[in-house]
Amino acid sequence: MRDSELIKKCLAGDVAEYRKLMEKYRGKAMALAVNILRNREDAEDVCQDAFIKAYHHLPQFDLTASFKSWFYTVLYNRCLDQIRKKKRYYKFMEKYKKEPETQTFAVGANPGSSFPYDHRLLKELSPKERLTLYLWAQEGYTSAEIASVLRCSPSTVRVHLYKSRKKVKAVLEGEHVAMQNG
Amino acid sequence: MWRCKMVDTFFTILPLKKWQDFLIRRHISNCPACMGKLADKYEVRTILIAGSEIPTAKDFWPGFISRLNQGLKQNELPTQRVWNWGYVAVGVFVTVAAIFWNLRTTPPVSPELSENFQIKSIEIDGRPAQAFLFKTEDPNMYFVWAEKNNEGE
Repeated sequence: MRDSELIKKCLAGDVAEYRKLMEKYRGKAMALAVNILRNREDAEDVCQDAFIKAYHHLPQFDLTASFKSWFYTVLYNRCLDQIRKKKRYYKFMEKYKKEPETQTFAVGANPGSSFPYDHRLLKELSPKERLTLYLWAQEGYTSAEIASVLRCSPSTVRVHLYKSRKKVKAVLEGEHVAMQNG
Repeated sequence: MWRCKMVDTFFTILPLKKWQDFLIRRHISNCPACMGKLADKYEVRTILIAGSEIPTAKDFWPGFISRLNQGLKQNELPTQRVWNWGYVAVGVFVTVAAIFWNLRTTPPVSPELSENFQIKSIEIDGRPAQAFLFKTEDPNMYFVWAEKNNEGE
């Protein structure tokens, strides 16, 4: 069943139909959120919030548009909220990761917010760059489609994409050289 | 190669994204040398967290329903919210009015002389004198003017 038909049924009062939408996009939402936040627990919280927020804003959704892109916008904005909220905690964790001789200790403040994914290169990129690259490389989005998610122009997306791809290339080449030199 | 360097320089110094996009579409995306400086999709995927690394996402439905019901209870009586704000507004108005009422300067109530102050007689040199009583704004202060009676008055 198409997304627009599911949404129409939800708007008619059938909340159970929304579950089908959630099932359909649950995995993709988690993958996107994890790549932006680099943390599974936060990604789950953010995905749940995004689904709830999307449900409440369904009456404003344009049925002719892509629900997936629209939902990604909601999810991305929630990710940014989460990052802002935990900025101080993340700064501390980044510093902690950089100090190899620091003794490990239990993080009592927020034990769920760890960085289980050691994709060091991801942290070189901003959340916007991570989103742009993820949608381009993993989802095969065009500049116009990414622009609809980021709520900007396709030309802006092309510039973001160019800069982030150049950054990734430079970092990968730097890592390659470092590995060759031992 | 000089063209690539020139484009790279212009790209760096031009602040407007539209100009940068123009350079991308006109040269960079068509130049193998410039494209060689950009990571392709495969290289980008190596730095992203793959779907296989992410455990199956939990079922969000139970949490969704629970929060939806909580939200419904909070939004149950929208008119009640309006009433609550009304009560708050009335409370603020009453508080402000009471403050202003207390701060206003009220004219002192003139006490009756007979209630606060009595002069039974005034004598000067053993003889009755005329007395004039002047009341000030300070309710606790009076001026008493006494003068001898003139002969024959």
